[in-house]
Amino acid sequence: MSFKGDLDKIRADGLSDARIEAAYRALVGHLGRAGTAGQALKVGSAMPPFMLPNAVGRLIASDELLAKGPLVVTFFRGSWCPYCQRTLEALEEALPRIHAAGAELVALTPDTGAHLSDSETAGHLSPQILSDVDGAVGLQFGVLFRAPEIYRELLAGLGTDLRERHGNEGWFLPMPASFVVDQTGIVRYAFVNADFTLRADPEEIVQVLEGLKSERP
Amino acid sequence: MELFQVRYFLALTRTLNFTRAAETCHVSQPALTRAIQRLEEELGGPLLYRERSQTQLTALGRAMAPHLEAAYAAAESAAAQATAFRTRAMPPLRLGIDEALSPHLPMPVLRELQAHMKGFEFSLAEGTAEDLSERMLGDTLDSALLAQSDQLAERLNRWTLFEDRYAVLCLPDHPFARSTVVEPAALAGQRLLLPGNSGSHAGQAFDRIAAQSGIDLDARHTGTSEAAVQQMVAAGLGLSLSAMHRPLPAGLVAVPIAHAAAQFKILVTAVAGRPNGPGLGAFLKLMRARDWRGAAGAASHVSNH
Repeated sequence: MSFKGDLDKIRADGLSDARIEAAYRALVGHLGRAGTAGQALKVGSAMPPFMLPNAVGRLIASDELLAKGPLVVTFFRGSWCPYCQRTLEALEEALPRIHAAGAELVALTPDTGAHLSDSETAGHLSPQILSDVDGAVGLQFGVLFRAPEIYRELLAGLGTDLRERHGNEGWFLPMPASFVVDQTGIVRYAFVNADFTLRADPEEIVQVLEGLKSERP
Repeated sequence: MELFQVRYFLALTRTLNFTRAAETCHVSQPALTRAIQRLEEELGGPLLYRERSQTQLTALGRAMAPHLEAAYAAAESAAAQATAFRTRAMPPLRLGIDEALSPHLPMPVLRELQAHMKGFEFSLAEGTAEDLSERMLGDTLDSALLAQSDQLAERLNRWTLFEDRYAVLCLPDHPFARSTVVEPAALAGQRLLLPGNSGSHAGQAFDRIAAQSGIDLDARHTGTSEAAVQQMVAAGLGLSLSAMHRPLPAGLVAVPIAHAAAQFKILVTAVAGRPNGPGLGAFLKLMRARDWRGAAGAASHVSNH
């Protein structure tokens, strides 16, 4: 099935639970009213540089990656989120084509410790998975928000304790977002949506990268 | 939420005055007010209220301030790290490690910092948790790895890295060496040699195991180092206690103790509210992001009796 079709199926399954549906509506409605998605980094702006540990204990610096080529920066909530799992799988599938376009990929999550690679897909992508400890980079990209109470309660009820996963009491999450940054550090593509069931299609990201490649002499 | 909104809010928490907060942030007061309103919409309620000429934090504002402060400090230090690492020399990272812990624990992280930081320097002091905590509060240490204890100073931020467990250290021909766990009752009648003095972390754990399981233990504090005690065990002078995360000395066997009091957390700590320089910021991130599963061997699979 297609990426979009898979996300739709996860969504239909998830929202068939009335509790999940109510929390989902509350979260998306709240972020929509607050205009949170509009605050994120936009096409044409400069990406703030960062240096974060990846899931295999190395420090990864954005400027070292940009020295090689364009960079895909994607934010995900954690391996507890089925939409994020499916997106990571699709990114893993697209990784050879991302590399073929001369680009690198990093996937940032506020999770820490063993949670960074506690799923099989996350395990495969562990060199690319970075721990955005305390949401530092998410805040700079303007994608960070505080989970509203109804959503915190839902997660706690499902056994997902963000305080334990993040190592802080903030309950901050990133909106799922994907950016393509060219070699000069300028954002050339941005997908940000307060609705966490909607994700940038890795196919589209690959197309943007191929377009960037053809721009180069 | 945006970085500048958080910066304005934090300025307000310090000044409790919109005019002065706007001045310190170099923006107009209406711009500051608008940014705070946006942040309030996102966080789901007013962060401040005005009473006559006074501005006060609401309960939500008070609750959010430390979290926003932490996220803001992390963002600032992340930006500083990314640029500072290869360009300028940084002050040495002053670390401490609890004498109850093996000094190898932070080594992979130090190696990673050394690979990225120009002229990376560090020091690693060994000491008791109490001593290291005091030195952190006195600003002669930046961070310390500590074994969990009840008396940790409140002003220390702490993050659990992993759970460890004490094990009995014995020779391979000892009956304990054939089992996967040691029940506390089996320790009665065994001569136990402990490193350090009676206040040591291992000693306290042993006291708790004995008290809670109601057994008399023949435990002696040797006043010597962990290495010296291991040599005593190797010479057949008795058994000892070692945390599972410690590298096993050649010729000895470690068998985990099946009791809740044998279990403890290993923490990375730093003083709350003190700005993290790029070196400390990166050290804490690497320690917290690290997958410590397996660091304590099979200790996590042992159930308590």
